[in-house]
Amino acid sequence: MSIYKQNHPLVLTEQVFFQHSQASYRLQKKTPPLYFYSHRIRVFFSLNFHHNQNKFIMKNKIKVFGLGLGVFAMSFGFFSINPSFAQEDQDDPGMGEPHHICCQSNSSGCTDLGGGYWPTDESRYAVTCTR
Amino acid sequence: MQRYFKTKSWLSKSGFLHFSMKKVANWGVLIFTLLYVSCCSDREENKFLEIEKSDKVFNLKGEKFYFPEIINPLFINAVGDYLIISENRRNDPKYPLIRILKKSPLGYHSSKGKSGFGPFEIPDATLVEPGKNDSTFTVYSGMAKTFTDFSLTDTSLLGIDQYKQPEGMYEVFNMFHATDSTILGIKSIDENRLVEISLKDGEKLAGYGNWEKIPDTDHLIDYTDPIVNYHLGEINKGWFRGNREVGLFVKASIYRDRLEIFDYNDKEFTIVEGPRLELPKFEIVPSGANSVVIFDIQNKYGHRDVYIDDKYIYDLYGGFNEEEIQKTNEVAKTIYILTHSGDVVGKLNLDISIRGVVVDLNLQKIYGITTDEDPGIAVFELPSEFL
Repeated sequence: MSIYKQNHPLVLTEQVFFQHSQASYRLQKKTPPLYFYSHRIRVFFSLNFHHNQNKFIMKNKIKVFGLGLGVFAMSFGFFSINPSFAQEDQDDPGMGEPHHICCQSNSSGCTDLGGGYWPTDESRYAVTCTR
Repeated sequence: MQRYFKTKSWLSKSGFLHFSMKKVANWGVLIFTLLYVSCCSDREENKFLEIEKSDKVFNLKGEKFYFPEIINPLFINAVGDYLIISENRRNDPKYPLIRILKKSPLGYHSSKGKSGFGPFEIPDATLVEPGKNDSTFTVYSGMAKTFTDFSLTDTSLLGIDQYKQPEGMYEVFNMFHATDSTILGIKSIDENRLVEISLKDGEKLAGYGNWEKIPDTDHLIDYTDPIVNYHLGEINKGWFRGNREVGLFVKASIYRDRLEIFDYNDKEFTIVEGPRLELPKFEIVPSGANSVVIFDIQNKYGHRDVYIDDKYIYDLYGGFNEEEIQKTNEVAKTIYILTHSGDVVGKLNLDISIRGVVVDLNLQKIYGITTDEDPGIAVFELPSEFL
């Protein structure tokens, strides 16, 4: 038996709340806010579900929607090049402290902040490029 | 699309909105296509990879010429009919820093450049450009911050004229004459890629090209750091070359695969990315009171040199990292040919590894410094397609 055909406590509570709220708005002669009508709209929707054909169509709609959403999400993975340049942890157990070549011997040279320039340098290992 | 509205197929018999699977699928395809076109259609093609598919790829066989005078060369330049070879400053100071070869027939001509910081001496020969007349050339020393003129006709190792760059432009470490009274150079820290400075007083006359943020690196680069422009300059560092006659100045980045072509005539940059589009791995680490950019030693170098003539830009490309170079002595075996507007129109695969490139269209020759244990000059025939 479908849940919609039972006197489900949650549904009852909601209906009672809805009716009481509507009544209070009527007493105050005010227009109820739009969300009060959402219950009626939902009931209207649920009527269509009672038909087997509509149920079938809705299930397929959900499948198509889900499939389309998946393809759409995957497509971003394929077409959006988002290179990550996160620095790798260079600490390698057993290899000692990580060392860098300060001014790599085959590079285009070194420049310090003040404009000091060395066009080339020997292969020199240092932790930083300070001189 | 009109039929959806005309037939009122949006509404079911009960008056409720009704979608069939077919329509949902059609709309889905339409929306997806629009989204894809809007987000991805402006992505530029990788010009360097596109050329691989064309018939403009040539395998060149070179010939090596050995000169006993050349000891440990680093850079090669051309001035008129001569090749100017810059030696490594680490050589014994008794050896000159510049060797001059005649292009045709290829042969040793003379030596220049007494090593030192004294008058008319140079500690290094960073950049070379044509002089004030056909019989001279000018050497810029990045270490001494001097311009020194040398004669192609005398036998002296010393320069014939020398002037030091003004103190106000001391931070400029790579520069060429843009005009007789101004230089165009790269500062170690500046908001601009290139600066034009007066030689009279060292005042900055203009700055060209602002550093832009590098995508996806906000976690690596602190753009609020006062010396962030120094970091950006280091990341984009490379070989600066110029051709004053055609008004083109190019920086070929060594760490990041990028060519920045600056047209001095219209003061505009053309940026060419590739062949690798990703950034090299790096980190910014504290160094004294400041911080420096440290690149991963495993990174492969990108562009190794660039030469500009009246017709093309010749881009020598490496693709080897420090360890590979030290093991195999191979530095670069690829030359990409680009138009002045940055279109890649050819690729040359070399059978001899070289560092530095010079091209002579009239002689149809490509010159480079070999990278073997006894370095000499490699000469290749330029394919007729590029004459």
